[in-house]
Amino acid sequence: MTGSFPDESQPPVQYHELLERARRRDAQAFARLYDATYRRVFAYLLARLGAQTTAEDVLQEVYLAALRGLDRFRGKTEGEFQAWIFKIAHARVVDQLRSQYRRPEIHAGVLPVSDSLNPLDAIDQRLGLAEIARALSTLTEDQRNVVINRFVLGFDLEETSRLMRKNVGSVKALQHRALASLARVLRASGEHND
Amino acid sequence: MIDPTDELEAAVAKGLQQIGGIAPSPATVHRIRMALLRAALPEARPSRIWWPKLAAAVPLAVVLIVVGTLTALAAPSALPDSPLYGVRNAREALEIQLAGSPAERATLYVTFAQQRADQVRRIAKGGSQTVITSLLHDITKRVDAAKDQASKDGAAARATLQQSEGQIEAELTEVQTSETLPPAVEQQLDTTIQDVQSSESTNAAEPSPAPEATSAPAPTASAEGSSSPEPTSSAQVTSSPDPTVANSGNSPE
Repeated sequence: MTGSFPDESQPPVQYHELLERARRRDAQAFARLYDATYRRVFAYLLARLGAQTTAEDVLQEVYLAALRGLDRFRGKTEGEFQAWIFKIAHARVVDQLRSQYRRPEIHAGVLPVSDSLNPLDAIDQRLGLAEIARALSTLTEDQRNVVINRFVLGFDLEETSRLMRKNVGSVKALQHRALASLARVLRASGEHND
Repeated sequence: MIDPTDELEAAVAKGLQQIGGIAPSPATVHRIRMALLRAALPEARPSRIWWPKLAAAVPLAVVLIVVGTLTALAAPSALPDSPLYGVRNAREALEIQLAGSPAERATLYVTFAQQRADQVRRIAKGGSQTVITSLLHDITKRVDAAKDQASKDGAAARATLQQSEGQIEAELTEVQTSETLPPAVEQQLDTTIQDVQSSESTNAAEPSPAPEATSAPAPTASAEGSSSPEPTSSAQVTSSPDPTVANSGNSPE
């Protein structure tokens, strides 16, 4: 698994060995697994939740849950570990979105885009984090997974098709429909705000 | 001319890519890392403490088991000059304490006396004078204690006691006749045999209270002696040096 996270490949991570050690409660080994994967998991959380602080809080929950559940995880490879950690992340996102839905006053306080978030300055004013996250929530699960894998996590078409167990043609079609749908939602949102 | 929809889609794709470039703050990365290390430590700590403790406890337990077993094995044959003789006495006292009835206690006392008589017989030739004398003294004490306990129970207990005392007397008499012993030992041996014999006689003279009387089919049966359904009991009555006592025990009147 590659993607657009070059720092994760240095130094090379021996997942099999680290997982074995982590299962024996070697805290440093689990910390290495965290170091190797947190950026990608965080990107996923940020895209889904739309607020850096919330994504950071959930990131901690994801890894603590993984640490607690490590005894039940039987995987040995990088792919297996990442699939597992993303599964946990997805579950936490669902919990968080459900919680935000129940508490709209908190949700409203989190979602507005803050100018103080430096990386956001590069993003078009119409495409604030919160708007993108909200727009992503309107997509089908497959469409959402395609655009997150392709653009947020940086996987190429072949990698995305393998991860999603779909052929490249289907991934292209899903990507096209997803972007069109996002554009439509964001345009409507912008018009409403204007 | 660029389609505005295509332009927006490109902007969306660019915005998504930029999200991928956003990292959590270094403080957050460090905070989570520390939280993970802390969360892992409570699981690791017990194993670090527990295993060395177990490692130390296992040899200790093995030593205790070995020492305990050796002690248990050695104690029953320990002689009065051995440090284990105290263990032997303590173990016997505990067994007697745990016995459920006076009859059981009497049996234990006499068994322990018998073991010592056997030891006396084995070490009489060339054994320590002090050890033999001490053993003989302890035999007397145990036989007396057995008699006390048996007197609290029925005829069956006394019959068993009498049989065991006969064996003790036989062992000690054998020593007396076959070995040439130092005068002091000879004297103590004589005293012990007399005590055992006296104990036997006393047992025979002991009153036969309720159980025997109760088990008699008719009041006259006990009084008649020979026609008693319990021959031993009749014999005891006949050989009793104190007919008053015998009669008082067997007569329903």
